[in-house]
Amino acid sequence: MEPIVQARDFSLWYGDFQALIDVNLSVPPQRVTAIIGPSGCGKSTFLRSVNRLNDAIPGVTTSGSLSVGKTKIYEPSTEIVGLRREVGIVFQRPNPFPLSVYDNVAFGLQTGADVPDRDETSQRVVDALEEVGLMEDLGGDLEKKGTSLSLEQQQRLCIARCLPTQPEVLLMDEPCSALDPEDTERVERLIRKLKKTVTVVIVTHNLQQAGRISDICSLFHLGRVVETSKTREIFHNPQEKLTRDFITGRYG
Amino acid sequence: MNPSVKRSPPRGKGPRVTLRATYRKPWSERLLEGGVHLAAWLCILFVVLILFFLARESGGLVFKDVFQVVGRYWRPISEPPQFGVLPLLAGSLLVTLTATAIAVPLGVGAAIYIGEFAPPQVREILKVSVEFLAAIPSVVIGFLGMIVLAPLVKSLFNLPTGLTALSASLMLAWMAMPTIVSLTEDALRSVPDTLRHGAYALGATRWQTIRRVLLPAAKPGILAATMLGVGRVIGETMAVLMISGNAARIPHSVLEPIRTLTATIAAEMGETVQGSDHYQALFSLGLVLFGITLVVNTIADRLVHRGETS
Ligand SMILES: Nc1ncnc2c1ncn2[C@@H]1O[C@H](COP(=O)(O)OP(=O)(O)OP(=O)(O)O)[C@@H](O)[C@H]1O
Ligand SMILES: [Mg+2]
Repeated sequence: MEPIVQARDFSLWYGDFQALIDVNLSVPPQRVTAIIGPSGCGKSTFLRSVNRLNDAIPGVTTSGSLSVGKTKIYEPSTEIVGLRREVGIVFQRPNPFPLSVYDNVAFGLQTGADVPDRDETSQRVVDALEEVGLMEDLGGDLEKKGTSLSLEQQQRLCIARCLPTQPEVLLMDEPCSALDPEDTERVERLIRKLKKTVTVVIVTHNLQQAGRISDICSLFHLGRVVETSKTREIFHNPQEKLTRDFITGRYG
Repeated sequence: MNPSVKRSPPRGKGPRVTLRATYRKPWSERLLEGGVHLAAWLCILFVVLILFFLARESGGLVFKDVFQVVGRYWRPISEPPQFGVLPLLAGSLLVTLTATAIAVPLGVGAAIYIGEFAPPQVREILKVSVEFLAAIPSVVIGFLGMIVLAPLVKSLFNLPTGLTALSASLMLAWMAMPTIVSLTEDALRSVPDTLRHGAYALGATRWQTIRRVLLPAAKPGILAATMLGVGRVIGETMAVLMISGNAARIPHSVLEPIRTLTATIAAEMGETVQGSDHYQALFSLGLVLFGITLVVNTIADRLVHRGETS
Protein backbone atom coordinates (compact mmCIF):
# COMPACT_ATOMS: atom_id res chain seq x y z
CA MET A 1 0.00 0.00 0.00
CA GLU A 2 1.25 3.49 -0.87
CA PRO A 3 1.86 5.32 2.37
CA ILE A 4 -0.14 8.51 2.79
CA VAL A 5 2.22 10.21 5.17
CA GLN A 6 5.87 9.47 4.74
CA ALA A 7 8.86 10.85 6.60
CA ARG A 8 12.33 10.26 5.18
CA ASP A 9 15.24 11.24 7.40
CA PHE A 10 13.13 14.05 8.67
CA SER A 11 14.80 16.21 11.33
CA LEU A 12 13.56 19.27 13.14
CA TRP A 13 15.35 21.79 15.32
CA TYR A 14 13.97 24.30 17.79
CA GLY A 15 16.85 26.76 17.48
CA ASP A 16 19.88 24.65 18.47
CA PHE A 17 17.88 21.84 20.03
CA GLN A 18 17.19 18.93 17.73
CA ALA A 19 13.78 17.56 18.64
CA LEU A 20 13.45 15.08 15.76
CA ILE A 21 16.41 13.06 14.48
CA ASP A 22 16.26 11.34 11.08
CA VAL A 23 12.71 10.18 11.53
CA ASN A 24 11.58 7.55 9.04
CA LEU A 25 7.93 6.64 9.19
CA SER A 26 5.33 5.43 6.70
CA VAL A 27 1.69 5.82 7.55
CA PRO A 28 -0.57 3.55 5.47
CA PRO A 29 -3.94 4.93 4.35
CA GLN A 30 -7.14 4.16 6.20
CA ARG A 31 -5.44 2.77 9.22
CA VAL A 32 -4.97 4.11 12.70
CA THR A 33 -1.32 4.71 13.41
CA ALA A 34 -0.40 5.34 17.02
CA ILE A 35 2.71 7.19 18.11
CA ILE A 36 3.82 6.27 21.59
CA GLY A 37 6.83 7.16 23.68
CA PRO A 38 7.93 8.83 26.87
CA SER A 39 7.26 12.49 27.59
CA GLY A 40 9.30 14.93 25.54
CA CYS A 41 10.38 12.44 22.88
CA GLY A 42 8.98 14.52 20.04
CA LYS A 43 5.56 12.98 19.43
CA SER A 44 3.70 16.28 19.34
CA THR A 45 6.49 17.88 17.38
CA PHE A 46 6.19 15.23 14.68
CA LEU A 47 2.43 15.53 14.56
CA ARG A 48 2.54 19.29 14.24
CA SER A 49 5.12 18.96 11.49
CA VAL A 50 2.65 17.10 9.31
CA ASN A 51 0.29 20.09 9.45
CA ARG A 52 3.18 22.61 9.35
CA LEU A 53 1.99 24.14 12.59
CA ASN A 54 5.60 24.45 13.74
CA ASP A 55 6.11 27.15 11.13
CA ALA A 56 4.72 29.73 13.50
CA ILE A 57 7.40 29.02 16.12
CA PRO A 58 10.45 31.22 15.58
CA GLY A 59 13.74 29.42 15.02
CA VAL A 60 12.32 26.14 13.73
CA THR A 61 14.33 24.51 10.93
CA THR A 62 13.94 21.15 9.21
CA SER A 63 15.84 18.77 6.96
CA GLY A 64 14.97 15.60 5.10
CA SER A 65 11.54 15.17 3.58
CA LEU A 66 8.01 14.74 4.77
CA SER A 67 5.27 14.05 2.30
CA VAL A 68 1.51 13.82 2.39
CA GLY A 69 0.23 11.90 -0.62
CA LYS A 70 2.54 12.93 -3.42
CA THR A 71 3.32 16.38 -2.06
CA LYS A 72 6.58 17.02 -0.28
CA ILE A 73 5.19 19.45 2.24
CA TYR A 74 8.39 21.25 3.19
CA GLU A 75 9.09 22.33 -0.38
CA PRO A 76 8.81 26.11 -0.71
CA SER A 77 6.06 25.71 -3.30
CA THR A 78 3.70 23.97 -0.85
CA GLU A 79 0.47 25.83 -0.37
CA ILE A 80 -0.16 25.70 3.35
CA VAL A 81 -3.87 26.47 3.37
CA GLY A 82 -4.42 23.63 0.92
CA LEU A 83 -2.27 21.29 3.01
CA ARG A 84 -4.18 22.08 6.16
CA ARG A 85 -7.45 21.27 4.47
CA GLU A 86 -5.99 17.88 3.61
CA VAL A 87 -4.57 17.32 7.09
CA GLY A 88 -6.78 18.03 10.10
CA ILE A 89 -5.52 18.12 13.66
CA VAL A 90 -7.22 17.65 17.01
CA PHE A 91 -5.46 18.82 20.14
CA GLN A 92 -5.11 17.54 23.66
CA ARG A 93 -7.54 20.02 25.17
CA PRO A 94 -10.69 20.66 23.17
CA ASN A 95 -10.47 24.14 21.68
CA PRO A 96 -13.85 24.98 20.15
CA PHE A 97 -14.16 28.55 18.93
CA PRO A 98 -16.51 30.82 20.91
CA LEU A 99 -18.99 30.56 18.04
CA SER A 100 -22.06 28.48 17.41
CA VAL A 101 -21.66 24.75 16.80
CA TYR A 102 -22.58 25.38 13.18
CA ASP A 103 -19.99 28.11 12.68
CA ASN A 104 -17.36 25.97 14.35
CA VAL A 105 -17.85 23.18 11.86
CA ALA A 106 -18.31 25.48 8.87
CA PHE A 107 -15.09 27.32 9.72
CA GLY A 108 -12.74 25.10 7.73
CA LEU A 109 -14.89 25.38 4.60
CA GLN A 110 -14.72 29.14 4.65
CA THR A 111 -10.98 29.56 4.89
CA GLY A 112 -9.91 28.55 1.39
CA ALA A 113 -10.47 30.19 -1.96
CA ASP A 114 -13.39 28.00 -3.10
CA VAL A 115 -16.02 28.58 -0.43
CA PRO A 116 -18.98 26.31 -1.17
CA ASP A 117 -22.47 27.81 -1.37
CA ARG A 118 -24.89 27.84 1.52
CA ASP A 119 -26.68 24.57 0.84
CA GLU A 120 -23.46 22.73 0.22
CA THR A 121 -21.95 24.17 3.40
CA SER A 122 -24.86 23.26 5.62
CA GLN A 123 -25.02 19.79 4.08
CA ARG A 124 -21.38 19.18 4.90
CA VAL A 125 -21.73 20.63 8.38
CA VAL A 126 -24.66 18.36 9.13
CA ASP A 127 -22.82 15.35 7.70
CA ALA A 128 -19.81 16.04 9.87
CA LEU A 129 -21.91 16.44 13.01
CA GLU A 130 -23.85 13.34 12.09
CA GLU A 131 -20.59 11.43 11.75
CA VAL A 132 -19.41 12.29 15.25
CA GLY A 133 -22.83 11.75 16.80
CA LEU A 134 -23.36 15.36 17.85
CA MET A 135 -26.41 15.85 15.65
CA GLU A 136 -28.23 13.39 17.84
CA ASP A 137 -26.78 14.74 21.10
CA LEU A 138 -27.79 18.29 20.39
CA GLY A 139 -31.16 17.42 18.94
CA GLY A 140 -30.33 19.55 15.92
CA ASP A 141 -29.73 22.72 17.93
CA LEU A 142 -26.68 23.96 16.05
CA GLU A 143 -26.94 27.53 17.31
CA LYS A 144 -25.66 26.48 20.70
CA LYS A 145 -22.27 27.89 21.57
CA GLY A 146 -19.49 25.39 20.97
CA THR A 147 -17.91 26.36 24.26
CA SER A 148 -21.06 25.51 26.21
CA LEU A 149 -20.93 21.78 25.42
CA SER A 150 -19.51 19.16 27.75
CA LEU A 151 -15.79 18.50 27.45
CA GLU A 152 -16.31 15.27 25.57
CA GLN A 153 -18.82 16.86 23.21
CA GLN A 154 -16.37 19.70 22.66
CA GLN A 155 -13.71 17.23 21.64
CA ARG A 156 -16.08 15.53 19.22
CA LEU A 157 -16.96 18.98 17.90
CA CYS A 158 -13.26 19.60 17.31
CA ILE A 159 -13.09 16.32 15.41
CA ALA A 160 -16.18 17.26 13.40
CA ARG A 161 -14.58 20.60 12.62
CA CYS A 162 -11.85 18.83 10.65
CA LEU A 163 -14.21 16.75 8.54
CA PRO A 164 -16.11 19.06 6.14
CA THR A 165 -13.06 19.63 3.93
CA GLN A 166 -12.82 15.85 3.59
CA PRO A 167 -9.19 15.57 4.68
CA GLU A 168 -6.95 12.64 3.84
CA VAL A 169 -5.32 12.59 7.23
CA LEU A 170 -6.55 13.31 10.74
CA LEU A 171 -3.89 13.98 13.35
CA MET A 172 -4.79 13.61 17.02
CA ASP A 173 -2.56 14.66 19.88
CA GLU A 174 -3.67 12.81 23.01
CA PRO A 175 -7.30 13.56 22.20
CA CYS A 176 -8.66 11.74 25.24
CA SER A 177 -6.28 12.85 27.94
CA ALA A 178 -8.76 15.42 29.27
CA LEU A 179 -11.63 12.91 29.31
CA ASP A 180 -12.84 10.31 31.79
CA PRO A 181 -12.83 6.60 30.84
CA GLU A 182 -16.42 6.50 29.66
CA ASP A 183 -16.02 9.53 27.40
CA THR A 184 -12.70 8.15 26.21
CA GLU A 185 -14.41 4.99 25.07
CA ARG A 186 -16.91 6.99 23.10
CA VAL A 187 -14.20 8.93 21.30
CA GLU A 188 -12.26 5.73 20.63
CA ARG A 189 -15.33 4.20 19.01
CA LEU A 190 -15.56 7.29 16.84
CA ILE A 191 -11.92 6.98 15.81
CA ARG A 192 -12.40 3.37 14.76
CA LYS A 193 -15.36 4.43 12.68
CA LEU A 194 -13.53 7.36 11.10
CA LYS A 195 -10.69 5.23 9.79
CA LYS A 196 -12.93 3.95 7.03
CA THR A 197 -12.76 7.35 5.37
CA VAL A 198 -9.70 9.03 6.78
CA THR A 199 -6.21 8.04 7.87
CA VAL A 200 -5.70 8.63 11.57
CA VAL A 201 -2.39 9.33 13.28
CA ILE A 202 -2.84 9.47 17.03
CA VAL A 203 -0.38 10.35 19.76
CA THR A 204 -1.21 8.71 23.02
CA HIS A 205 0.28 8.34 26.45
CA ASN A 206 -1.99 5.48 27.12
CA LEU A 207 -0.60 2.13 25.98
CA GLN A 208 -3.90 0.34 26.40
CA GLN A 209 -5.47 2.92 24.18
CA ALA A 210 -2.82 2.37 21.52
CA GLY A 211 -3.49 -1.35 21.80
CA ARG A 212 -7.25 -0.91 21.51
CA ILE A 213 -7.47 1.38 18.54
CA SER A 214 -4.32 1.31 16.44
CA ASP A 215 -3.32 -0.93 13.56
CA ILE A 216 0.24 0.33 13.39
CA CYS A 217 2.29 1.49 16.31
CA SER A 218 5.45 3.54 16.35
CA LEU A 219 7.66 4.10 19.37
CA PHE A 220 9.59 7.35 19.60
CA HIS A 221 12.49 7.88 21.95
CA LEU A 222 14.56 11.05 22.31
CA GLY A 223 13.55 12.32 18.90
CA ARG A 224 14.19 9.03 17.06
CA VAL A 225 11.89 6.29 15.87
CA VAL A 226 12.80 3.13 17.73
CA GLU A 227 10.42 0.72 16.08
CA THR A 228 7.36 0.83 13.85
CA SER A 229 5.29 -2.26 13.35
CA LYS A 230 1.84 -3.78 13.44
CA THR A 231 0.41 -3.02 16.84
CA ARG A 232 0.13 -6.69 17.68
CA GLU A 233 3.81 -7.19 16.86
CA ILE A 234 4.84 -4.23 18.98
CA PHE A 235 2.97 -5.56 21.98
CA HIS A 236 3.68 -9.26 21.67
CA ASN A 237 6.86 -9.55 19.67
CA PRO A 238 8.93 -6.38 19.93
CA GLN A 239 12.21 -6.45 18.02
CA GLU A 240 14.03 -3.81 20.06
CA LYS A 241 14.98 -4.01 23.69
CA LEU A 242 13.85 -0.42 24.18
CA THR A 243 10.40 -1.31 22.89
CA ARG A 244 10.20 -4.30 25.16
CA ASP A 245 11.15 -2.16 28.15
CA PHE A 246 8.64 0.50 27.24
CA ILE A 247 5.79 -1.94 26.70
CA THR A 248 6.45 -3.69 29.96
CA GLY A 249 6.56 -0.37 31.75
CA ARG A 250 10.20 -0.56 32.72
CA TYR A 251 10.68 3.00 31.56
CA GLY A 252 8.55 5.83 30.19
CA MET B 1 -34.18 -0.07 54.83
CA ASN B 2 -30.59 -0.90 54.18
CA PRO B 3 -29.15 -2.14 57.49
CA SER B 4 -25.56 -1.37 56.56
CA VAL B 5 -26.41 2.31 56.61
CA LYS B 6 -27.62 2.08 60.20
CA ARG B 7 -24.55 0.25 61.32
CA SER B 8 -22.11 2.83 59.99
CA PRO B 9 -20.07 4.28 62.84
CA PRO B 10 -21.60 7.34 64.51
CA ARG B 11 -19.98 10.55 63.44
CA GLY B 12 -19.00 13.51 65.58
CA LYS B 13 -18.14 11.64 68.77
CA GLY B 14 -16.63 13.79 71.47
CA PRO B 15 -16.64 17.58 71.66
CA ARG B 16 -16.48 19.47 68.40
CA VAL B 17 -13.68 21.90 67.95
CA THR B 18 -14.00 24.69 65.44
CA LEU B 19 -10.77 25.08 63.56
CA ARG B 20 -10.74 28.80 63.97
CA ALA B 21 -10.39 28.48 67.71
CA THR B 22 -7.21 26.50 67.37
CA TYR B 23 -5.56 29.12 65.18
CA ARG B 24 -5.00 32.61 66.55
CA LYS B 25 -4.18 35.18 63.95
CA PRO B 26 -1.10 37.21 64.78
CA TRP B 27 -1.88 40.85 65.46
CA SER B 28 -0.02 42.09 62.39
CA GLU B 29 -2.35 40.06 60.23
CA ARG B 30 -5.41 41.37 62.03
CA LEU B 31 -4.20 44.90 61.53
CA LEU B 32 -3.65 44.39 57.81
CA GLU B 33 -7.00 42.73 57.44
CA GLY B 34 -8.66 45.60 59.23
CA GLY B 35 -6.81 48.08 57.03
CA VAL B 36 -7.96 46.59 53.77
CA HIS B 37 -11.51 46.28 55.07
CA LEU B 38 -11.49 49.92 55.97
CA ALA B 39 -10.10 50.93 52.59
CA ALA B 40 -12.82 48.99 50.81
CA TRP B 41 -15.59 50.52 52.87
CA LEU B 42 -14.10 53.98 52.42
CA CYS B 43 -14.55 53.64 48.65
CA ILE B 44 -18.23 52.98 49.09
CA LEU B 45 -18.50 55.74 51.67
CA PHE B 46 -16.99 58.27 49.27
CA VAL B 47 -19.44 57.39 46.53
CA VAL B 48 -22.34 57.75 48.92
CA LEU B 49 -20.99 61.04 50.27
CA ILE B 50 -20.56 62.46 46.78
CA LEU B 51 -24.10 61.53 45.95
CA PHE B 52 -25.34 62.99 49.21
CA PHE B 53 -23.62 66.36 48.77
CA LEU B 54 -24.61 66.62 45.13
CA ALA B 55 -28.22 66.01 46.10
CA ARG B 56 -28.08 68.40 49.02
CA GLU B 57 -26.48 71.26 47.14
CA SER B 58 -28.82 70.84 44.20
CA GLY B 59 -31.63 71.54 46.69
CA GLY B 60 -33.64 68.77 45.06
CA LEU B 61 -34.05 70.96 42.00
CA VAL B 62 -34.01 68.00 39.66
CA PHE B 63 -37.04 66.54 41.37
CA LYS B 64 -38.75 69.76 42.36
CA ASP B 65 -38.72 71.53 39.08
CA VAL B 66 -38.62 68.75 36.56
CA PHE B 67 -40.25 70.72 33.82
CA GLN B 68 -37.61 73.36 33.77
CA VAL B 69 -34.73 71.02 34.23
CA VAL B 70 -35.64 69.11 31.12
CA GLY B 71 -36.34 72.37 29.29
CA ARG B 72 -34.84 73.34 25.99
CA TYR B 73 -33.01 76.48 27.07
CA TRP B 74 -30.07 77.02 29.34
CA ARG B 75 -30.14 80.77 30.09
CA PRO B 76 -28.93 81.16 33.64
CA ILE B 77 -28.57 84.93 33.64
CA SER B 78 -31.58 86.02 31.62
CA GLU B 79 -34.64 87.27 33.46
CA PRO B 80 -36.27 85.00 34.49
CA PRO B 81 -33.41 82.48 34.26
CA GLN B 82 -33.96 79.20 32.46
CA PHE B 83 -32.17 76.04 33.47
CA GLY B 84 -33.12 73.57 30.77
CA VAL B 85 -30.69 70.67 30.75
CA LEU B 86 -31.52 69.40 27.28
CA PRO B 87 -29.09 71.47 25.19
CA LEU B 88 -26.22 70.46 27.47
CA LEU B 89 -27.28 66.84 27.50
CA ALA B 90 -27.55 66.93 23.71
CA GLY B 91 -24.09 68.49 23.51
CA SER B 92 -22.57 65.85 25.75
CA LEU B 93 -24.33 63.08 23.88
CA LEU B 94 -23.35 64.29 20.44
CA VAL B 95 -19.73 64.72 21.38
CA THR B 96 -19.61 61.38 23.18
CA LEU B 97 -21.19 59.42 20.36
CA THR B 98 -19.05 61.04 17.69
CA ALA B 99 -15.88 60.59 19.71
CA THR B 100 -16.77 56.94 20.37
CA ALA B 101 -17.50 56.33 16.71
CA ILE B 102 -14.03 57.63 15.89
CA ALA B 103 -12.11 56.15 18.80
CA VAL B 104 -13.42 52.58 18.79
CA PRO B 105 -12.47 51.54 15.24
CA LEU B 106 -9.13 53.29 15.53
CA GLY B 107 -8.44 51.92 18.99
CA VAL B 108 -9.43 48.34 18.16
CA GLY B 109 -7.47 48.53 14.93
CA ALA B 110 -4.40 49.78 16.74
CA ALA B 111 -4.75 47.03 19.35
CA ILE B 112 -4.98 44.37 16.65
CA TYR B 113 -1.85 45.73 15.02
CA ILE B 114 0.04 45.93 18.31
CA GLY B 115 -1.08 42.52 19.53
CA GLU B 116 -1.07 40.46 16.36
CA PHE B 117 1.10 42.02 13.68
CA ALA B 118 3.75 44.34 15.08
CA PRO B 119 7.25 42.90 15.47
CA PRO B 120 8.36 42.84 19.12
CA GLN B 121 10.41 46.08 19.12
CA VAL B 122 7.71 48.06 17.34
CA ARG B 123 5.18 46.64 19.76
CA GLU B 124 7.15 47.90 22.75
CA ILE B 125 7.53 51.36 21.25
CA LEU B 126 3.84 51.52 20.46
CA LYS B 127 2.78 50.38 23.91
CA VAL B 128 4.96 52.96 25.59
CA SER B 129 3.60 55.67 23.29
CA VAL B 130 0.04 54.67 24.08
CA GLU B 131 0.75 54.87 27.79
CA PHE B 132 2.37 58.24 27.30
CA LEU B 133 -0.64 59.43 25.36
CA ALA B 134 -2.83 58.47 28.30
CA ALA B 135 -0.68 60.54 30.63
CA ILE B 136 -0.89 63.84 28.72
CA PRO B 137 -3.02 66.30 30.74
CA SER B 138 -6.23 67.18 29.00
CA VAL B 139 -5.51 70.93 29.12
CA VAL B 140 -2.52 70.32 26.90
CA ILE B 141 -4.63 68.37 24.48
CA GLY B 142 -7.23 71.14 24.58
CA PHE B 143 -4.49 73.64 23.80
CA LEU B 144 -3.39 71.68 20.77
CA GLY B 145 -6.99 71.46 19.71
CA MET B 146 -7.40 75.22 19.90
CA ILE B 147 -4.34 76.20 17.94
CA VAL B 148 -4.02 73.30 15.49
CA LEU B 149 -7.25 71.42 15.07
CA ALA B 150 -9.83 74.19 15.28
CA PRO B 151 -8.28 76.34 12.50
CA LEU B 152 -7.99 73.20 10.39
CA VAL B 153 -11.66 72.29 10.88
CA LYS B 154 -12.63 75.88 10.20
CA SER B 155 -10.85 76.11 6.85
CA LEU B 156 -11.64 72.54 5.83
CA PHE B 157 -15.41 72.97 6.19
CA ASN B 158 -15.44 76.69 5.55
CA LEU B 159 -17.07 77.54 8.89
CA PRO B 160 -17.36 80.78 10.86
CA THR B 161 -15.59 79.09 13.76
CA GLY B 162 -13.51 75.96 14.16
CA LEU B 163 -14.66 75.50 17.75
CA THR B 164 -17.28 72.85 17.02
CA ALA B 165 -18.63 69.53 18.23
CA LEU B 166 -16.44 67.86 15.62
CA SER B 167 -13.24 69.42 16.94
CA ALA B 168 -14.18 68.46 20.47
CA SER B 169 -15.04 64.91 19.38
CA LEU B 170 -11.73 64.47 17.61
CA MET B 171 -9.84 65.59 20.69
CA LEU B 172 -11.93 63.38 22.95
CA ALA B 173 -11.43 60.44 20.64
CA TRP B 174 -7.74 61.01 20.96
CA MET B 175 -8.06 60.96 24.73
CA ALA B 176 -10.21 57.81 24.81
CA MET B 177 -7.90 55.92 22.46
CA PRO B 178 -5.27 54.85 25.01
CA THR B 179 -7.86 53.21 27.26
CA ILE B 180 -9.46 51.41 24.36
CA VAL B 181 -6.15 50.34 22.85
CA SER B 182 -4.61 48.92 25.97
CA LEU B 183 -7.74 47.16 27.23
CA THR B 184 -8.49 45.70 23.81
CA GLU B 185 -4.93 44.51 23.52
CA ASP B 186 -5.26 42.85 26.93
CA ALA B 187 -8.46 41.17 25.81
CA LEU B 188 -6.85 39.90 22.61
CA ARG B 189 -3.80 38.67 24.44
CA SER B 190 -5.93 36.74 26.92
CA VAL B 191 -7.48 34.67 24.12
CA PRO B 192 -5.81 31.28 24.58
CA ASP B 193 -3.24 30.30 21.96
CA THR B 194 -5.05 27.02 21.47
CA LEU B 195 -7.77 28.95 19.63
CA ARG B 196 -5.21 30.57 17.33
CA HIS B 197 -3.61 27.20 16.63
CA GLY B 198 -7.02 25.66 16.04
CA ALA B 199 -7.83 28.30 13.45
CA TYR B 200 -4.46 28.08 11.72
CA ALA B 201 -4.74 24.31 11.68
CA LEU B 202 -7.98 24.63 9.74
CA GLY B 203 -6.21 26.67 7.09
CA ALA B 204 -7.26 30.11 8.28
CA THR B 205 -5.04 33.05 7.41
CA ARG B 206 -3.92 35.45 10.08
CA TRP B 207 -6.60 37.93 9.16
CA GLN B 208 -9.35 35.28 9.09
CA THR B 209 -8.20 34.10 12.49
CA ILE B 210 -8.45 37.60 13.90
CA ARG B 211 -11.79 38.43 12.39
CA ARG B 212 -13.58 35.13 12.89
CA VAL B 213 -12.04 33.78 16.10
CA LEU B 214 -10.06 36.32 18.10
CA LEU B 215 -12.46 39.24 17.89
CA PRO B 216 -15.52 37.15 18.85
CA ALA B 217 -13.53 35.59 21.70
CA ALA B 218 -12.35 38.99 22.92
CA LYS B 219 -15.72 40.67 22.43
CA PRO B 220 -16.65 41.11 26.10
CA GLY B 221 -13.29 42.71 26.79
CA ILE B 222 -13.57 44.97 23.78
CA LEU B 223 -17.04 46.09 24.79
CA ALA B 224 -15.82 46.84 28.29
CA ALA B 225 -12.89 48.79 26.85
CA THR B 226 -15.32 50.78 24.77
CA MET B 227 -17.53 51.58 27.72
CA LEU B 228 -14.59 52.72 29.82
CA GLY B 229 -13.45 54.89 26.91
CA VAL B 230 -16.94 56.33 26.75
CA GLY B 231 -16.81 57.01 30.47
CA ARG B 232 -13.62 58.96 30.00
CA VAL B 233 -15.20 60.99 27.18
CA ILE B 234 -18.34 61.87 29.13
CA GLY B 235 -16.39 63.01 32.13
CA GLU B 236 -13.80 65.03 30.23
CA THR B 237 -14.02 68.75 31.01
CA MET B 238 -11.05 70.95 30.21
CA ALA B 239 -10.51 70.03 26.58
CA VAL B 240 -14.16 70.33 25.64
CA LEU B 241 -14.44 73.59 27.50
CA MET B 242 -11.64 74.93 25.35
CA ILE B 243 -12.64 73.69 21.93
CA SER B 244 -16.35 72.94 21.79
CA GLY B 245 -17.38 76.55 21.20
CA ASN B 246 -19.50 76.78 24.35
CA ALA B 247 -22.86 77.45 22.78
CA ALA B 248 -25.67 76.06 24.89
CA ARG B 249 -27.97 75.24 22.01
CA ILE B 250 -29.37 71.96 20.82
CA PRO B 251 -27.05 71.18 17.87
CA HIS B 252 -28.20 70.08 14.43
CA SER B 253 -24.85 68.86 13.15
CA VAL B 254 -21.36 68.13 14.37
CA LEU B 255 -20.13 71.28 12.66
CA GLU B 256 -21.91 73.54 15.16
CA PRO B 257 -20.51 74.76 18.45
CA ILE B 258 -21.98 72.95 21.44
CA ARG B 259 -21.61 72.84 25.16
CA THR B 260 -21.41 69.84 27.45
CA LEU B 261 -22.60 69.21 30.98
CA THR B 262 -19.09 69.15 32.37
CA ALA B 263 -17.94 72.30 30.60
CA THR B 264 -20.99 74.17 31.87
CA ILE B 265 -20.28 73.29 35.48
CA ALA B 266 -16.61 74.20 35.17
CA ALA B 267 -17.28 77.48 33.39
CA GLU B 268 -20.13 78.77 35.52
CA MET B 269 -19.43 77.55 39.01
CA GLY B 270 -17.16 80.52 39.68
CA GLU B 271 -19.87 83.08 38.95
CA THR B 272 -22.66 81.72 41.09
CA VAL B 273 -23.74 82.65 44.56
CA GLN B 274 -23.81 79.70 46.91
CA GLY B 275 -27.37 78.49 47.41
CA SER B 276 -28.78 80.46 44.49
CA ASP B 277 -30.97 78.86 41.84
CA HIS B 278 -28.10 78.87 39.40
CA TYR B 279 -25.86 77.18 41.96
CA GLN B 280 -28.48 74.52 42.58
CA ALA B 281 -28.97 74.01 38.87
CA LEU B 282 -25.26 73.36 38.38
CA PHE B 283 -25.34 70.75 41.12
CA SER B 284 -28.31 69.19 39.42
CA LEU B 285 -26.18 68.88 36.31
CA GLY B 286 -23.66 67.12 38.53
CA LEU B 287 -26.35 64.65 39.56
CA VAL B 288 -27.26 64.00 35.95
CA LEU B 289 -23.62 63.32 35.16
CA PHE B 290 -23.34 61.06 38.17
CA GLY B 291 -26.31 59.07 36.91
CA ILE B 292 -24.92 58.73 33.40
CA THR B 293 -21.51 57.64 34.66
CA LEU B 294 -23.13 55.11 36.96
CA VAL B 295 -25.08 53.58 34.09
CA VAL B 296 -22.05 53.44 31.79
CA ASN B 297 -19.88 51.89 34.45
CA THR B 298 -22.49 49.34 35.39
CA ILE B 299 -22.81 48.28 31.79
CA ALA B 300 -19.03 48.03 31.46
CA ASP B 301 -18.87 45.96 34.62
CA ARG B 302 -21.56 43.59 33.42
CA LEU B 303 -19.75 43.10 30.16
CA VAL B 304 -16.47 42.34 31.88
CA HIS B 305 -18.07 39.80 34.16
CA ARG B 306 -19.99 38.15 31.39
CA GLY B 307 -16.60 37.65 29.77
CA GLU B 308 -15.33 35.94 32.87
CA THR B 309 -18.12 33.45 33.27
CA SER B 310 -18.28 32.24 29.68
N1 LIG C 1 8.40 25.53 21.03
C1 LIG C 1 9.45 24.83 21.48
N2 LIG C 1 10.66 25.42 21.63
C2 LIG C 1 11.72 24.72 22.08
N3 LIG C 1 11.67 23.43 22.42
C3 LIG C 1 10.51 22.78 22.30
C4 LIG C 1 9.34 23.45 21.82
N4 LIG C 1 8.32 22.56 21.80
C5 LIG C 1 8.84 21.39 22.26
N5 LIG C 1 10.14 21.52 22.54
C6 LIG C 1 11.04 20.46 23.02
O1 LIG C 1 11.06 19.44 22.06
C7 LIG C 1 11.02 18.16 22.68
C8 LIG C 1 9.85 17.37 22.14
O2 LIG C 1 8.66 18.01 22.56
P1 LIG C 1 7.23 17.43 22.21
O3 LIG C 1 6.23 18.38 22.71
O4 LIG C 1 7.18 17.08 20.78
O5 LIG C 1 7.23 16.11 23.09
P2 LIG C 1 6.05 15.06 23.31
O6 LIG C 1 6.62 13.74 22.95
O7 LIG C 1 4.82 15.47 22.65
O8 LIG C 1 5.91 15.10 24.88
P3 LIG C 1 4.59 14.95 25.75
O9 LIG C 1 4.34 13.49 25.85
O10 LIG C 1 4.98 15.52 27.07
O11 LIG C 1 3.49 15.69 25.08
C9 LIG C 1 10.94 18.40 24.18
O12 LIG C 1 12.22 18.25 24.72
C10 LIG C 1 10.52 19.82 24.30
O13 LIG C 1 11.09 20.44 25.42
MG1 LIG D 1 2.88 16.21 23.37
